[in-house]
Amino acid sequence: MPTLKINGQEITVESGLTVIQAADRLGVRIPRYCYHPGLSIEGNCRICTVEIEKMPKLTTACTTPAADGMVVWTDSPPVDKARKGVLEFLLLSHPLDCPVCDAAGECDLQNYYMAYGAYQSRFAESKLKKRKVVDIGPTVLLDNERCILCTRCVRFTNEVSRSGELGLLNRGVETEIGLFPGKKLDNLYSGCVVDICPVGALTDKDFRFQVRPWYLKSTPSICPHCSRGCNIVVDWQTERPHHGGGKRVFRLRPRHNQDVNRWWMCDIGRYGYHFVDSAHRLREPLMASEEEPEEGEEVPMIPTDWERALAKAADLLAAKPALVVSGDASNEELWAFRKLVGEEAHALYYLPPPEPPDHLLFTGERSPNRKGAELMGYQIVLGKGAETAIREAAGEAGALLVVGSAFSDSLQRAGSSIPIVVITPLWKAGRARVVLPSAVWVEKDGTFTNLDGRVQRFRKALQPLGTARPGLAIASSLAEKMGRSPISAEAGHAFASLAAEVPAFSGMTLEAIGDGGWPAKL
Amino acid sequence: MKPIPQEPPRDHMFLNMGPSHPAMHGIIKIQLELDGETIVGSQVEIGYLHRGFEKTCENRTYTQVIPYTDRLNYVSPLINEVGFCLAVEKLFGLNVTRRCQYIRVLMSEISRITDHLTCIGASAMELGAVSAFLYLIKARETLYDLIEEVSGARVMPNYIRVGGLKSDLPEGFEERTRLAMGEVRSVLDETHRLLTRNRIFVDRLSGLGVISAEDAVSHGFTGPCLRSTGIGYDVRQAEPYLVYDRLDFDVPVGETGDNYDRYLVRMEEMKQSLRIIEQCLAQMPQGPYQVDLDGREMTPSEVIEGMKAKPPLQPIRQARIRLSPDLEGTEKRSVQDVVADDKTVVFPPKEDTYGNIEGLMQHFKLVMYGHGIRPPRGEVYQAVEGGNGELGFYLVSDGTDLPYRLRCRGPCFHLMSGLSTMIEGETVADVVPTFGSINMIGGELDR
Repeated sequence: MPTLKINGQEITVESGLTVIQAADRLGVRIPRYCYHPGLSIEGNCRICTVEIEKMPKLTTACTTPAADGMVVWTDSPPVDKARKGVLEFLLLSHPLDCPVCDAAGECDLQNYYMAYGAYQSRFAESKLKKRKVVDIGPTVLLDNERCILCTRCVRFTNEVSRSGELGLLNRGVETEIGLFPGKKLDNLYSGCVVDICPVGALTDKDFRFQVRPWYLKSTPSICPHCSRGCNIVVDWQTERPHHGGGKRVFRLRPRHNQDVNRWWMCDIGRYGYHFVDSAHRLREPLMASEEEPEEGEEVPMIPTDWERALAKAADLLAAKPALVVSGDASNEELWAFRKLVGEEAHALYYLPPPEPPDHLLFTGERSPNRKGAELMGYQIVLGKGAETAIREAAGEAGALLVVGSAFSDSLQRAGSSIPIVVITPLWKAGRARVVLPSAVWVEKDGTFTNLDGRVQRFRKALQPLGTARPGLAIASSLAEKMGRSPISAEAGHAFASLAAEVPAFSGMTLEAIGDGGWPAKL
Repeated sequence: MKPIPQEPPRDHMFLNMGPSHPAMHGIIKIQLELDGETIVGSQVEIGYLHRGFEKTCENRTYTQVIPYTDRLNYVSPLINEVGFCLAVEKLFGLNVTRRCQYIRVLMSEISRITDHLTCIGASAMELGAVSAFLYLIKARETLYDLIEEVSGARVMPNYIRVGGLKSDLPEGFEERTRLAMGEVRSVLDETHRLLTRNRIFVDRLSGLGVISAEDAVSHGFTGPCLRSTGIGYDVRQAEPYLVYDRLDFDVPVGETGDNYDRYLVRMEEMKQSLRIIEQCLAQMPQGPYQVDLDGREMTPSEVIEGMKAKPPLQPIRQARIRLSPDLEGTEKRSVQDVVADDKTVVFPPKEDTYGNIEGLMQHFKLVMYGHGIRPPRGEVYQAVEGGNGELGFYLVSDGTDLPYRLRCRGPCFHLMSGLSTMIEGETVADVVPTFGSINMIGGELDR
């Protein structure tokens, strides 16, 4: 357990840590390009040089193991000078791309130049030309001129995604990042190389030129695409609708959580946000026409207002309903709908057929809250067995309440003869008496329980599209109309009631869960 | 100030003066309680031009605030800019170059003259002296020409920047300033001949709108209105900023605090401002210029030819330039002398922004939302002597790129609070010269 001093502050760390890691623990920020806590240490960028007393020269903080009695200075005049020198070299051939570079605003070259460089340019020669806009895979573009050769992406593909597509090609000043022959950067985690690129060399095709990053607002959230529950950040903006063709959510980024996803997320989650602003989002309630349809034609669905739709739904659900939930229903919503239909009613949770999991994060279980449904007493039905189970439940019930977007044909067939009330954000066509538009996960507050039973909180970033309402608010209105015991439309209150009733959640509050999550008592 | 009763007492009459009254600038309403033609009470209603200046600025970056300050006292906008920029620089603890300080003083004094010219011209016109108004506004126009030459705009210059100036003075500025000063001086002499001993003018001003020194202080009067009462408070001498302590000028004071004293104080202040401008021109350190290897001054075309040499001659590359035909004083070798040496505050010269990655990144870091100029945490108050008195900016920084709080102390607000006292016991016709001598500027009053 070495004890060392950094800028006069003393800290004891476990042996094996390097100086930069010890400094991070202290909250002393040492600039870094090649160092990343999730990757092996290489020490090639030299920006993290620090002064260590009794050492003959400046040393890189990322490669030097912390040793007992070390005295480290991270911003002494020699360190300052060295950083300026490193920056000047890194910027020698850097193109004047800020105006067209996606990374401007999130670029560590910009940040460190202002923080540590701020020298007067002396470069009067011609810049080295390299390949730009290199298509290296389905999701990522490479710009070799912007690259500072930190090799974070190379190490990522070797160590984390274990797909090994990238490497360093050529020698000397002509060194560049490139693909191994016959390979493409095409793996489930390819988007992560854009996150870890400290400059604008790797840019995301999905995000490219959509919006300048400084217009984006960020909200901590949880990925809804599998039961891992990766911690993410939702980057969104609504003030400039002319950017990105009116999109509101522009990208998802992983948020560090050592216990869940560390620094990474898969491409399924990363690019799986487009449904948020999709044309299939339902913006107002629909009601089946009262008129008898022509022979062989479907009952037309007519847009209506919330008051009528809720009244009709409450009317239909009065007759001993059964419940089928799927999609991104939060713990609070699962609990609220269970309350709404009554404890004795059939409550099913539909899970799409599982896919094979991978070595890192993706679980193959395409639902963020299966565990939560289990804890709330739902019967989990999946794949082909679902149809039978739902038919069985519907057979005993007077109505069917379907919550969530997975209102597949099989579900429809299963509940064939009884009236169906659907609460869903997405609607194409189907047989239902009432369809209520609900908010998607970025438009509501709540929690998911991941496959390990970790309760994780996601926050509301956007207003629901059109007149859509969060599931919890719909449950609350229906409870009122149906004369059931009141359900709070506010996630914090609903969660408090839930925690009081469901033993696995006892003692939790939304505030206490915070952004790190809290394991449920399993 | 006596509150106005709901119903006028017997024999009294209520009269609304403004906001639709030519002398009320369209933005002031004075409710008068009259006994015959004598004012026995009044209520001044302000706020018609309120636009949330302070709140707006709290949602703008420090650089974006500067154009908003132009809209405070819009007849002397450069003083407002100087005041705001000095406040931000105080947060940073930043010193601007000597030449920049002189230019700021020079532009402030030009603005002070335009302010007083407008005030005297407008109030003389409201008393029927239209020729005096035309002469004074013509003199103001020559000064606006100077401002336009320097900043590109007559009224909303946006010329002063945090840490310096938009650009250096253009070539030949000194000469043209001297010409303009001569013109202003002759107009002032003419105005003196037209007005100062004019029987009608003096009768309409003298002994009217009187405020005592005590009342003036208790209302928070500053500027010419305070000095007309005999109190010689002037921020430029009480709390010298920039290079005012190196300049020789007098602060004229009046005796009685009436309209005529305010007129005389303003007339004299303009003369003092002309003195300051002259001293600035004489003392100002010269900007850099381009010399060749022998120390001979080079023309821009010679410099361009020298740059074309392969490889470019180092001494010429590093040499200084006096003028470029395209960048209007913002080129590196010129602007460097009027901005502070701090890359985290001052924008890079345009050659750097477009010419090397360091300059480009610096420019981006200063304009991007959430990056920008970031003064350290703290709070400051910085006052300057505006056209109407002490113009103060109170700034609180939380270390981000937006001011956490910006409070503006505009002198007009306090002057207007004394208006009721000043017009009480006078006739309705006297409201016009008294109100005129206060020099209410809506942009600054209502903010």
